[in-house]
Amino acid sequence: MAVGKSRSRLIFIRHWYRASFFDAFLLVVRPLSLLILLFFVHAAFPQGSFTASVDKRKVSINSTLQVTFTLENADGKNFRPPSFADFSVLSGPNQSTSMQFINGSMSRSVSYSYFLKPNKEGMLTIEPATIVVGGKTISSNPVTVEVVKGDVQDQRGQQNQGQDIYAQISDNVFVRLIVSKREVYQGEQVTAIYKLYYRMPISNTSISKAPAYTGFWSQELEIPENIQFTPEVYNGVQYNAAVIKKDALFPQRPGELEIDAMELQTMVRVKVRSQTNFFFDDFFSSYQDYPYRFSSNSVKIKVKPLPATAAPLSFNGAVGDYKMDVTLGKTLTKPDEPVSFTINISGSGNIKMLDMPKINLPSDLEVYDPKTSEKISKKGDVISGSKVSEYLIIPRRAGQFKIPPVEFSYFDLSKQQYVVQQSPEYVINVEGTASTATTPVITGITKEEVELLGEDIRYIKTGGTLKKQNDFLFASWQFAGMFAAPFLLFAMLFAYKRREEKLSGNVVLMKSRRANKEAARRLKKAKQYLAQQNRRAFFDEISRAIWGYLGDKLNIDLALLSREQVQKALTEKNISPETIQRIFKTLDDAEMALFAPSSDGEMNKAYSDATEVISKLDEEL
Amino acid sequence: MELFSQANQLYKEKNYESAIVLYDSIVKSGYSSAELFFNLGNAHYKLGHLAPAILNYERAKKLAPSDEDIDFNLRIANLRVVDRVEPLPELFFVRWVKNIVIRHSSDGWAKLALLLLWAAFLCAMLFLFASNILLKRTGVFAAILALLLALASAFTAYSQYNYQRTRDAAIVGVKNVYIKSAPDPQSTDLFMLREGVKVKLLEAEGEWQKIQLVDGKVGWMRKEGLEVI
Repeated sequence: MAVGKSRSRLIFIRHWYRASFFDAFLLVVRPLSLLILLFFVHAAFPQGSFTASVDKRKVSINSTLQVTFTLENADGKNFRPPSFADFSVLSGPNQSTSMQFINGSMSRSVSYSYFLKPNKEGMLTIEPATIVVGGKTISSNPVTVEVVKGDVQDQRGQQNQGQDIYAQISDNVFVRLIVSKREVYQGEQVTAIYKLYYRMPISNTSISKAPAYTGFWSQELEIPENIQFTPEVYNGVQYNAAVIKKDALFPQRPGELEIDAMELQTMVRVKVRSQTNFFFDDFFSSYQDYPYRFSSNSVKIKVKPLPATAAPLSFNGAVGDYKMDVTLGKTLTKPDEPVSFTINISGSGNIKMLDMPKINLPSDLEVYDPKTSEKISKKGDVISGSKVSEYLIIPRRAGQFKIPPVEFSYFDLSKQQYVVQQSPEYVINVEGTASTATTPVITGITKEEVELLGEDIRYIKTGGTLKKQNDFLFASWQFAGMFAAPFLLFAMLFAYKRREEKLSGNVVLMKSRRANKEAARRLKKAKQYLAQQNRRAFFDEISRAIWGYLGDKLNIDLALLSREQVQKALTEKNISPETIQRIFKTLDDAEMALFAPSSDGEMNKAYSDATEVISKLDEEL
Repeated sequence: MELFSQANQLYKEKNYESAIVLYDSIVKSGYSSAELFFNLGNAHYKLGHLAPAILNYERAKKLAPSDEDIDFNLRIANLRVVDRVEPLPELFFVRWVKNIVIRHSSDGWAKLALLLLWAAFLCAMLFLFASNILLKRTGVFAAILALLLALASAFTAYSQYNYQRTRDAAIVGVKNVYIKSAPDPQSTDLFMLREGVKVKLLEAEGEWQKIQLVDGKVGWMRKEGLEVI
């Protein structure tokens, strides 16, 4: 948190003071009378003495005390006052010098006087002061004073008079704190003006305690080098008034903040009326300077937080009234040729603490930290000015690069809402090639790749055949033909072979293959008839199965099939005579059964005989 | 062919500009070969034209996927590309399949398919007409094996053919380009691409093309900044 940077400052006040003739006369006469007075006093002192004296030995705790250290007839250096541990120094040291010639001999004295206010009651000692005379350090005497509570009676009501005087002073000399607003937003400027009013002559006014401005960021506003007091009527009374301090304050946190009081000290010249009612009262009335410490009022400021909702993303705490100007030096450049880019924000508000918007550039553009400068006007009651960020953009390679829009947002006090300002998007055209010396290093490549980078490309190829573009073997008719041809050829050859087989003598083979199938089919049929008890069909089928089988196997046409032929063929094929006998027996049985009635058992036996015979034949063939 | 030798002669004489003109005229007349694009890429590289060099190397590579010289020059040219786009890793078998597929051109695979098919045919003949039962059996198995291989080769030839015909990759041809989030000049800039970066082409909309980088990033840019491979 920025704490007020206020420095204590001595104010030289050019009195604007309408002196009467007598006042003017007195200004001349008074030192003279002082000299005369000093003459009497100093004559009593021995030469080269350093003494301390007080104006009264017994004082009230509420009143002031003057102590004077006087060096007689010597040149002193390095005056060191005591610590005044039990007192507050209201003013001092006030140094005065006097010279006197008496009977041809000169006496001179230097005195240092302080106005003190006791801090506690009792017997208090003012420690000796020291001064160096001719290389030797000499000390003054210690002085003891008695401090009592309440008024000191035996001082002839002098203290009463002193209190009256301070009451009188406070009515006539005071400082006011005036603020421009009592309710503000966080970050909104409050102007604090301290105005000094007086209608008694004052001098040596200085700020003894500057306000701390806790919770505010402060910026001193300019006031004239020479403060000019002008007549001003306040509460029906005319004063000389002038602004002695003016600060712009920016509250840094919400809540109730206090602008604290400022403390001043001054010397007030009060006319002390003589007790005797003399003819020319004014002429003989004397003036006395009273030290006076006083402070201004303090003011509480209510600080509202900024509306939290709808704060733009780019909002960075700027409050006031601003305008952003963004300029690009040039839009066409060459690699390594810098381009300036300036962001200028002007307006009123806390410009010193303003966060400048940042720019976001592609890595092809190198940019250095911006040069930021500000111009702040402290004249008037409101801080205004401008802040400028100047960037130097150096493009490292050719291309067209965008500078994204710069966005700046602030809380507008007059509109009571956030305002976003956006610059246009700029495009930098970088043309030409970078000089080899600053060719950007391509990052992220391996060591092996770096070695590759140094190598040259391989030489051109001279061979090869040119062909029409989009001319593919795969998509050609030739390919389709060549691909389909083997399938077709295969199919054709396969079919041809089958036919050849059929046509050639291999009919025997085919018939033989067919024999088993045929016999099985007939036997199956016979079995069906057996189940139906169809004797005729059954035995018919049995004999057909056997005859068919024999015909197929022996390759003899059914029409030519006879027992003799079968016997002959079977014998040729080395079939055992028993099997041949069984075949004929089975055939005979079947034929006989066709005409002779027989039992069920007979049909079953015929069926099993037939299957047995066929399988036996199959084995032996 | 004569023009090609002439262009090569010009290249030899370091007259790269004229060589480029000649090579380009061959390309314009509708002829192509891996060598032609390779040489054209070389000529552009010699003149420092990064994007055209990479474009032509990529075209050459497409025609001759396993040519080592093309690979080498393409790698060197790619080193000069500012943007380093790291490709997403591929599954190992996808990589294997790709490696096998790119070993030959589409024509190569097609020829192989025909060769295998005719071999299968001969084996089948052996099966049909041999009298020896062993020869018959060998014939059947050999024929089936050769037939399967022939079909696989034909399929590879088909995928290569498809790959050659699809034009789904491009090279950024301008010095730099801002990639947008939508096909609209007012939309946000997502990132920037520099000359020579290879991108995959996704859908197009009017003047705008949706692209994808090998690392998976997607965005829109104007078609005029792209050179299709």
